[in-house]
Order: sequence, then C-alpha cells, then structure tokens
Amino acid sequence: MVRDREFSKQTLLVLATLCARPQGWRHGYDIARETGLKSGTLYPILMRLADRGSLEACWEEEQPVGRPRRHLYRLTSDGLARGTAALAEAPAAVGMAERQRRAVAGIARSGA
Amino acid sequence: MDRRNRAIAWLARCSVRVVPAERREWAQAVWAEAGEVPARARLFWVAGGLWLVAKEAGMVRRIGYWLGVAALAVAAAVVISLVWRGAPVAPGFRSVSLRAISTGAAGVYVDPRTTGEYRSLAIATVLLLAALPWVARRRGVFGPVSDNATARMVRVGGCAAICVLVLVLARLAQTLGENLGTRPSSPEGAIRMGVITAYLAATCAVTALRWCPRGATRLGEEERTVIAAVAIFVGFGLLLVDPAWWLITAYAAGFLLVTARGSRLAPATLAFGAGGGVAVALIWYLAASTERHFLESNPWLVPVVFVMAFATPAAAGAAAARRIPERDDPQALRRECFRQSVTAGMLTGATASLLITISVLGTMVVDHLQFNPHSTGVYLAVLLLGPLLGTIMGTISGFVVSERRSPPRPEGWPVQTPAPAPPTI
Repeated sequence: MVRDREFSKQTLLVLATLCARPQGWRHGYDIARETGLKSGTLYPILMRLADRGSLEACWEEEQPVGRPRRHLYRLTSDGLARGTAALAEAPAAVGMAERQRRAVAGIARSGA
Repeated sequence: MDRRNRAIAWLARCSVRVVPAERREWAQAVWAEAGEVPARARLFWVAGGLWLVAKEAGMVRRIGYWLGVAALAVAAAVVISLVWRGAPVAPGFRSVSLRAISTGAAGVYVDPRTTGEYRSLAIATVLLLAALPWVARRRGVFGPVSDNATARMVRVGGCAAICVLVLVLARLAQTLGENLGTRPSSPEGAIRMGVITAYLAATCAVTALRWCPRGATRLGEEERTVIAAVAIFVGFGLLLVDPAWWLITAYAAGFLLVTARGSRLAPATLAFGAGGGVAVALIWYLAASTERHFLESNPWLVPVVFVMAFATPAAAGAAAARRIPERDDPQALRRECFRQSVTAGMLTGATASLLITISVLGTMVVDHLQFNPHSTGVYLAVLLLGPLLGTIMGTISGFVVSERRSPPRPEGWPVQTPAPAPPTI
C-alpha cells in the first residue's frame, strides 16, 4: 500500500508557525527564525504551498526606509484548513515548533 | 550600504536573471531579506538563496548537459581522427556492419580504389552520427525521455551498459584476437567500432539528460512510419550480416523506446523491470563466480538459479501490473495491466542478459582468461533469449494479474448502469 504523506516534517513546522497567527502576514526570515529552517529549505516549502493554493504571498506595499520591501506570506482559508487537519494528525510537529519559538524568544530576551 | 550588503545586492541582481520569470519573485524574496539576517547566519542564508536559484534555473542539469556535450565533442573528434587515418578497404570486404561502414568511411578518403558502395556507406555513417541526437530529442518513438528520475536512470544506465559491452568486445578482440562477430577482424577495426559505438551510446545518454523545450515539434504519423520502416529494414539487414551488432542496436533502441515519454510506462514498471534484471545478474554472477565455486560445491543451487531466472521477470511483471491505479473501464484496466507487465518482464530479461554478458566477458578480459571462439553463440543466445524469456514470463503474469483485477463478465451479463441521482428538493 502506498503511503500518501502530504506534508514533510519541515512543512509541518512551517504550517505550525503560520497557523499560530493565521490572519497576520509573516516574512521569510521571521518564519525561518521560528522554525529554525535555512533559506534553502524554507523557500521551496513556501513555493510548494503557494503552488497548491495553500499560501498567499504579496510584497510590502510601501517602500520602507533603509531596507528592501519584504515578501509576505499568509495561509489561505484552504491552506489553514489543510494545515490544521495535518497538524492535528502530527502533534509532535506543533510541539517542536513551540519549543523552537520559545528558544528563539529566549535568545531574543537574553540579547536584549 | 556597507560593502557586504552591496555585494549581496549585486549577487541578487545577477542571479535573479537566470531564474524563470514565474519563479523570479521567490528568488528576489530571499535576497530582499538577506540584509536583515544577522552577520553570523548571513552566509548560510545567501548559500540557501544560491541553491534555490540554481535549482529553479535548472543549472545542475544545464551544467551536466554541457559537460556531456563537451565529452561528446571530444569523442567525435577521436572518431573522425580514427576514421580519417583508417586503413584502406580490403578487397572483398563486403559486409554491411558498422565495422565495415567505418572502414569504408576511411577508405573513401585514403583509397582511390574505393567503390561507390563504400562511398554510400560512408555517407550513411555520417548521417547516422548526425541524426541520432536529433532522433533521441524529438518527440517520437525514441524521445524525449519521460519526465521522471527512474526513466532517466534506466536510459542512462542502459546506454552506459551497452557502451561498456562494446568496449569489452573491442578489448576482447584486441587482446584475444577474436570478437563476437562471426569473422575475424583487425584490432584497429574493433577499436574503431568500439569508439563509434561508445559515441552513439554517450549521445543517447546525453540527450536523455537534455530537457525537452516546451512546444517541441511533434513527429507526424507519416514521419514515424517512414522512420519505423527504415529502422526495421536496416535492422533485418544487420541481423543477416552481423548478429552481434544487430543485438546491440536492438538493445539500444529498446532502452530508448521504453524510457521515451511516448511509451507511457509507469516509473514503477521501469524500476521493477530494471531492478529485477540487476538482481538476477548479481545473484547469477555471485553463484557462478569461478573463484567461489558456489555452483560446483552446491549443486542444489543450479535449479534455484534457474527458477529465479524464470520467476523474477514474472514477479516484476506482476508487481508492475498491481501498481496500476483503478480505472472506470475494466477493459482499459486489463490492457494497461497487461502492457505494463509484459514490458517489466522484458526489461528484466534484457537487463539481466546484458549485465551477465558484460560480467562474463569483462572477467575474461580483466583476468586474461582463454576465450573459446566457439562459445560466441552462447553469449549471443543469452542476449537474444533473455528478453524473450522475460517477455513470456511477463505475459503470463500480466494475464493472471489482469484477470484477477478485472475478471471478464460472462456473456449476457447485464451491464451495470449508474443509479439515477435522487431528485433535488
């Protein structure tokens, strides 16, 4: 029997991060920091999610001072439903994302 | 903007241009945030961005393709050099084998006694060398390669195996004074044949790696008919004149055929077929290895090896047929199961025969073992009977599996019609 595995462990991490604040737009480095994924892993995942219609992306509307405009991401309603369902079947990914988030928050506090 | 950020911005501008337009904004997104990444992690971020660009731009495949093209150019130069400096045509040498063609091509230039027949053969050689890359890339019977990794691996692996076989034959002819053909030849002729065939095989392998551009010209029905007729005519001509070369050509054509996009074979079929063949060859070689004396010390292994030779193509065919997804039309499902099973069995037999022949003859060359010229027919028979046996076993298992998956309805059996949809309120 062929196992139909829809999402990899890394994709579940990304979904867990995006599902935590489904209404807010996130940028790539922000997601990378929370998931601990490198850009070479993160962006192909984001591209696949966007290709499947699970993710919407846009550029920042206004040009900020001192840095280029960011590319922003948010789950679509379909992506949110699929992500929530997938995460319900793989609670370990949610725990891992949560631990990563706490670790990042800890580093940020100690840095401050 | 500091020097590092300027360098990143420059890198971004350069790299984004090579990415296809529909993916360009993703590459831009990576570079847009590189400046915000802390200095200690920026190198990894940039490296990831470069990897993304390389992957999206298909650069790995492009680099592999152009390296292959360069290797082919060198091989072609060697071929031309060998042909140019070749020996004059011997009087009475009239066989239409590739060896004769290459010798004839040389003779066109170096021997004023060359006949019109050899001039024609020389032109045929040039056309063959020029047309093969075109044939393997165009949409048609032999190409382009199916868009999956299994088909590419089987095509490249098959071409490489044929290449090795021809080089082994050439080396055998050179060192032992005997080739697999039915008549003796000079070592130079065998080497020339080996180099030319290596060129052909490498061309097929490289064209397999080349991505077929969208909108490539599709061959028409008439063109395909003409090509098939010419191929069959030339094939039978070579069979009568030079069985060894005919078999090698048939194997090359077979590997191109089953891995072409038009064959519509499932990747699993190719994987089971080629994998089964490799397994049979490996077990056979280990069992028959003269150093280990397995078969001599364990006579009961002989029937086991024979049973395995019969059972593996059948198993590969059955496994391939079982992987076909369900269809609405039971007849279509039966046909598809049967087709995939037969092909998997044939591929198992062909792969096993090819590898067994290479391993036996290669061992002789490496170990300088005595080669009995009278055993030539045995290896030709292995190359001929292997795919035949595989096809028979694949046919049997295909028949069994297709019957089980879609049993035929008895005559007069009422055709099931879908239940009418409930009325909407």
